[in-house]
Amino acid sequence: MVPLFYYIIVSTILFAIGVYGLVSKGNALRLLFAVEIVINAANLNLVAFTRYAMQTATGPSGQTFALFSIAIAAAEAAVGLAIIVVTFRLNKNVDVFKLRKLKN
Amino acid sequence: MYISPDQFPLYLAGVLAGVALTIVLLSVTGKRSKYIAMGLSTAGFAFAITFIVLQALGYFGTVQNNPTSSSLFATDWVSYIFGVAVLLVALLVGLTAVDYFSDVIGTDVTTFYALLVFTTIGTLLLIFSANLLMMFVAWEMMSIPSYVLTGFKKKDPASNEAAVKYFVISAFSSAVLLYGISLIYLLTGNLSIYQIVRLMPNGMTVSGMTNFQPIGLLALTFFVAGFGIKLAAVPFHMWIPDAYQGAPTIVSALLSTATKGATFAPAIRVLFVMFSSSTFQPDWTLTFAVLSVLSMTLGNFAALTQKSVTRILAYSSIGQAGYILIGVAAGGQLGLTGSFFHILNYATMQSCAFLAAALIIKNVGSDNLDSFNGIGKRVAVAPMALTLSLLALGGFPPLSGFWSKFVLFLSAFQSTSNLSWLAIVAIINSFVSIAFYVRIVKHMYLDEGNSTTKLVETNGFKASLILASAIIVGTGIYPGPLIEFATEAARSFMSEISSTQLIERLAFILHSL
Repeated sequence: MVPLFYYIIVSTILFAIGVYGLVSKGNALRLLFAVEIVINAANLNLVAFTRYAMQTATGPSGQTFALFSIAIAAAEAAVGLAIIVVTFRLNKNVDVFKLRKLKN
Repeated sequence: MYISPDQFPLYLAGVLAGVALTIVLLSVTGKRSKYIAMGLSTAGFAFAITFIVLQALGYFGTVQNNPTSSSLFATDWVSYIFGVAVLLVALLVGLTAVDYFSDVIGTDVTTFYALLVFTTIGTLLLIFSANLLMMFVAWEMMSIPSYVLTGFKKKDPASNEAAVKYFVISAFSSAVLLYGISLIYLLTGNLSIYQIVRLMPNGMTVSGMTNFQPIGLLALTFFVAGFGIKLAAVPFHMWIPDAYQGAPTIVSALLSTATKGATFAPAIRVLFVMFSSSTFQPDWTLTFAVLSVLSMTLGNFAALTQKSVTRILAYSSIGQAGYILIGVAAGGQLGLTGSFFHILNYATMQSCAFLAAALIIKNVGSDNLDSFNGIGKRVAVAPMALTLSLLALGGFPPLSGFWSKFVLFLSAFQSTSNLSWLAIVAIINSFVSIAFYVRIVKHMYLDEGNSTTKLVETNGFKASLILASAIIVGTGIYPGPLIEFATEAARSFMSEISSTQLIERLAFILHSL
């Protein structure tokens, strides 16, 4: 069995990649990818922890949670992509740093 | 009729889901379906409010459920008061939507009502949730329709820009929240908030873990960041002004009050139940005191220099989040009572301000402060309601905002962890905030406008604004019942004194002033 520690390392790396993408990129699609990566890092955590916490846990609630969150992330991505498509139609680009209609 | 308190929120959500699906079906038929949609959603919200009130009065059997049960929901006074507040805001917004979108090309108002009811279901379930899985699902049920609502004027680049910014930040907040939940699951192997608190002490469910404090603190950080983004507390506030300015103004009313209020209930459950076990009890007083000071100061001072009314209201929303956090920092029953009471008042004050501004902006076609000049002579109800709600937000004595600020500042003075400095900063901030609240009133009543033609005030807006103003004035004159409800809610977390004792103490302090 792969030690839990390895899963935690992978999930931490995924989380770091997601946060890096979120703070460094301006393209709305890339931001969406970054958010999805963070969500998947959390899903990996949940699934791995269920496997290791099975002795004391009251059932595979972590894996159930991962299924829910995958479905919800898909719904969120669908709505997000719809908004980004509208952005592209209105502005001909999807860079959030170039969206400056509202004054800062 | 008996309804188990464990299942009560499901009945509530079921009825509203029926309403929402009916409206969706309506949107594919008939031309005048928008009035039917308005009637249906208003009736649905009114029914839900009645349902909650009857449940709180014990009409359906047991009033509260056992919090340590494995139920997905916590049906207690916190849920009741927040639920009624959120439904009230949804009702106010629902009354105005047909009029607000009447001249916007390319929008289908019937769809707006369906999304409004869906997002309200999400907020209600979020308020009632006592399980991290339920909390996350409800969180997304609340967020996803609200992205669409924010970008509802799809031909308007400002609305779309607001939607993109809100979507990215809010999606990140739910991802961070999810990561925090996964860490809590690592520690306890459980997802029920009221059971996690008992599992925390021997939280070594994972082999090889000898010290869980750092992971617990990391999880707490993720929770604070996730909730903070929705609550508009300062390090997480960047999206607020853009989102509220660009969104349709009536949607800003919904986002700034219903979403914030609904986030506050689970945040309090997580902080004051989940993170207060006997072995893991982090001291967050200073953290929240600093967040509170930053939010108040930035919100109020940034509002001073703004030219757009919706932007001023957005910064005011950040500032008010700072006041609400005083109660969390001070802790104790008095602090929580203050926070609950203030967020209830804030819900009517801020939504009334946004709705009144929405009517004026729709008519004059701009949200610039100068275009509000002389509005007081051109319409009757909207400037009156805006004035009342702004004065209440500023904390003028006979109005509702004064009382809740009073309880909050008192809780900081009486806190065991010496937070007098926080109360003093908050009082200074209150005086600063009066400057920009009164500035809008001055523009409306004292400055001469370019035009003196009368503006049309439609019945939906009138009804909504008069209802909200009546609540603001009524609570201001007779705050007793609301304080009692807030105390009762705070007692779910810590029971130091009963509500009558608290009111006696407040009356004594007021008398001696």
